[in-house]
Amino acid sequence: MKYLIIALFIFLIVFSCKQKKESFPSHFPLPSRTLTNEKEAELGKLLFFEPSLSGNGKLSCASCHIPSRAFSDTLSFSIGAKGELTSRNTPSLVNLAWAKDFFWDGGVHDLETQIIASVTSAREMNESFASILKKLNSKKIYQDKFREVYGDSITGQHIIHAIAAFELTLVSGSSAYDEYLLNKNSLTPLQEKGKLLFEQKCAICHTGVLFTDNKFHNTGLDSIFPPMQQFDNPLLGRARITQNASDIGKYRTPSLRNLNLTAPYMHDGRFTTIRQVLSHYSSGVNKSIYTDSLFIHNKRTGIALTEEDKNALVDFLQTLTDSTFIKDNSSFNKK
Amino acid sequence: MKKLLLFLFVLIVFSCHKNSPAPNPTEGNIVLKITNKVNGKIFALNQKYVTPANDTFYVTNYKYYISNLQLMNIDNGKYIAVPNSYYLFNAAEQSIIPLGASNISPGDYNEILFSIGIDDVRNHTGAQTGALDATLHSDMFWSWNAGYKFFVLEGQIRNGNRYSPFVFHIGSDDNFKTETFNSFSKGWNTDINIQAGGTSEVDVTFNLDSLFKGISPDSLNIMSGSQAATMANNYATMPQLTGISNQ
Repeated sequence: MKYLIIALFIFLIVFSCKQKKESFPSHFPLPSRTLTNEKEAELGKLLFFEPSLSGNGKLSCASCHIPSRAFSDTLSFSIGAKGELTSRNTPSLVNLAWAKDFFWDGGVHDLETQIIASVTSAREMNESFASILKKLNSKKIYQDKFREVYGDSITGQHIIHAIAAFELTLVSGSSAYDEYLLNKNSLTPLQEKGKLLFEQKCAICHTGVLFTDNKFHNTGLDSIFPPMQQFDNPLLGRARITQNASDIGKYRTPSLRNLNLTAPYMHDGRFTTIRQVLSHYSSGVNKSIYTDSLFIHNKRTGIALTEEDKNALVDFLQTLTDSTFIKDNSSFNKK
Repeated sequence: MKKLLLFLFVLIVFSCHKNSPAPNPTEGNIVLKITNKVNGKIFALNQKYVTPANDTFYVTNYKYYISNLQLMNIDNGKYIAVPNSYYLFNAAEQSIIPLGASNISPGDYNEILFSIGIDDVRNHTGAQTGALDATLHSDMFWSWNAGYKFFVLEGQIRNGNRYSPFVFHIGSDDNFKTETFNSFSKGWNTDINIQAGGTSEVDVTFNLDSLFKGISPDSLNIMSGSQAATMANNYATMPQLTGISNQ
């Protein structure tokens, strides 16, 4: 009897204290959110690939957030369920557990609300949750899965929480650069040179292992902007959200992880190669009253880069490609 | 061994402990009853009314959020904030809103507060339940710039010989308005005296007429900026206290 009780007690303690496997790389900062239920993420993965979430029944989240493209696509603007183009370039979905703001203009602050926006937007998936509930309720697999995960029937809130849970698992932290940081491999001399240049000239915004300062900048892509009177014109950038003229033409600093897979670049996908982006920063920055002062110096506008510097930076940026991340998430039936 | 058993017992009891919500006859209820009126009549959709500037209009959609019901005794500082008090009024479904709250501690209250709109703590995510579930009430939520539409009025207004559509969607933290009625307010006929097992009712009328003050009939699409701020100041003047009863 005594041993049985002790055994039970030990079992209880072990069970209640079971350490969860760290869901993020050891050299990353603490995320702002963590995954609490892996079953929920599995359901979310199923939903992420589910075309019933779109008005025409043909688009899933994965249609524009393609796993092999680091959850972005190859277009400047993606094509929504009504055949309309999105107003901004589809971003890569990576390390979202550390993100604070969503969309290029930061109008949304949590994954769940971002999902509502993309599902209901006429330019994106163009579907209502009322209609999605009808479609999912006609499939027994979803009735069962929602019951299993939430002990409840299918609701809009469960749908967005499940997809958000899956998106929290999209962690990229095992690229050649990460291996280098963990002393598991080394960089080539050219990559080393690129890394030093990057730290001097790019890391002020593309900061740390997440390669973003989570802030908004006007990088001088344009010199002419709509007036604030056009309060909901997407070309106002961040100012469309804040209604503050000082935010005109500002966009969120994107992560540079898996950069090789996420072309085209910038909020409107105007550049097709990394080299074009670097040329913009070295010689193409437009000077307007809205251009970030980081790009304005006494003698020149932009970031001084020689052709050799660009070669080194391009070579360094290749090391941010994370093949494990792509492989692990290549489809919904592989875990 | 005995200690171990005792410990286990405590552990189990503790882990199974639940707050049993036994009915408590020592508490009372409050009802805030809002009646929507226009031109002195009970408001209805698709009926013709006139603005203070004498423009004929009718309404096809009228919705707004009421939140943060609070009771106070400004003499002794007794204060109750009704938790999770978020209500969505929809004229297509109701003409009078009875906003109820139970479990109110009995006593004398000489101030009642409620807000039009959603406080900034709850205003910026659609991942909420009930009246704030943005998957259910997506027409009351801007998902690209996360925030609720506090006040929505849509319809047609006569402009010369023809009718033009108007769309007023007012939100944003600046336009969150809190209403305060107390013993100094017009219509305050008695203090709110919550009795155990009893129900006190506060009757308020929302007069839509006030909404159009200072709004030009040329501004038919108001969703942000100074016109939205004017309209929010206007809806803040809509509620009028008409009486209090204690039972």
